[in-house]
Amino acid sequence: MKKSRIPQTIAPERFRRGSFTVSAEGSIVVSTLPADFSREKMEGIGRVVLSALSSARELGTPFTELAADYAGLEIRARDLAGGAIVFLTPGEY
Amino acid sequence: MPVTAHARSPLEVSNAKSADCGPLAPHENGLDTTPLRRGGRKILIVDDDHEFLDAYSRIIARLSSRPEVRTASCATRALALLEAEPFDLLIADLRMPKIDGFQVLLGARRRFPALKTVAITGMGDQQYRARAYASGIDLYTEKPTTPNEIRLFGECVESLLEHGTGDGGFRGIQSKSLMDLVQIECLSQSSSVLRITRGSLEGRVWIQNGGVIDAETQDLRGEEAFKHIFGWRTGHFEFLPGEPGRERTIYSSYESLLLDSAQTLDEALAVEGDPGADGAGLCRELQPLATVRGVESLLLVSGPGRCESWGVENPEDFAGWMHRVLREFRELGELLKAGPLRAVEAAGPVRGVVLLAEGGRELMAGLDRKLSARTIRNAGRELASHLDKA
Repeated sequence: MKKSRIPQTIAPERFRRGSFTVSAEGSIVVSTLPADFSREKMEGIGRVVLSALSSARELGTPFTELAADYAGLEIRARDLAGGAIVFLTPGEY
Repeated sequence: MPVTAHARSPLEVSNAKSADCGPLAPHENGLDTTPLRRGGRKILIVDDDHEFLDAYSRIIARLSSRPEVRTASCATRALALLEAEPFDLLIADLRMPKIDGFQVLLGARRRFPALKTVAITGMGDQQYRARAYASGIDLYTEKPTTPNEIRLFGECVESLLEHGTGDGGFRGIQSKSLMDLVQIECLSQSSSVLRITRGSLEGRVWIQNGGVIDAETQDLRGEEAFKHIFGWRTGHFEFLPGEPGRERTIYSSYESLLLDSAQTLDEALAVEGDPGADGAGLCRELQPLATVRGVESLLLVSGPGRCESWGVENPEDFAGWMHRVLREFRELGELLKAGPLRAVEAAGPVRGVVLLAEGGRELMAGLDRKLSARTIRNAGRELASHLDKA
């Protein structure tokens, strides 16, 4: 395989599309993400998502959907009875 | 500086009663199923019950006058919307947490005397009804539940809209600035005590034979107290009988006192950027952000203790939440190597929000809960652009 001569630009990591479900306790229930996407990363995402959703509920503003828009990734989560289903979509940058 | 007092006239009571069971409109049921078309009239509905809010919006938007309907799920947002754009009619549920419908209606009526007001309630209560009409509310009605009640409700709203413009006459609200009140009393050489209240605050100005002789509020007295009271841009007033034995602490003429107070107030306003009465107005920094489609509330934190808000019920709590959420997602982005965080968006049954961070500032925009994810995303981009320019 020939090496690309195109100069590399500094860019966020490339992500692959997929989703996972996190329980209200923060454990990963099921995932369609590739195996190289670590469980720790999924748990990290789940923790932040659940924390944002539960703290908003405590303020009397429940959210059913939450999205974080990064330059290289979109994290979109949907509330599932205290847990969440999280979709990861590579961003356009 | 409008200071208002109620002086409801029989004329107004009569109008309110006729609106309560007004004549039938020419169309049979007051509703129309043809596609929505804007008719120029604007109605704001405030109710913490989202199902009712949706139902009312649909019912009212289909009236033959095709009014434009805006909704708010809490009093704070309703008052912010009223400050931001003109409305012809305000419909408020009387039972709401924190600030109830009465307070919203009365506050709105004082501030916008031409605004028609409708109180709706889930439970019929004669005392509530009497209180509503005595307060100057145009229509008191129970929440319609049957098709017939819905038809009557629609007709009442239509009737109020029809009488909303050009009918002249007295509406029973007296709205005067403090300057007007003092001038009237002094020019007529009266002796009276002007009692002014603004929320829990109370001030008194003693007028003796056409001159201001004393003023008092909280722990202030004399000219200082007068200038302090003069800074209250809204409130209630009443004239009490004069107190001839009152000790004189003010020796300036009323003209120079008013001039001096007005100048002090103008200077204070120029410094603070006039955030509006009761904090419901928009500061200059938030004005361009409020023009973005769907934006109903704003919270901008520019640094420690520097927080501007518009239409946010508990800004400090939300500022803390916004800061925590943005920080956690930023840290998550670093962990994932996902690139810079552009925005955090959330949607729910109460409202949608967009969180942005730019140049050390954090912004939370509350959005109409009916907006689609795409519209929320677009609003976020537009807000980011405004924030970037500011």
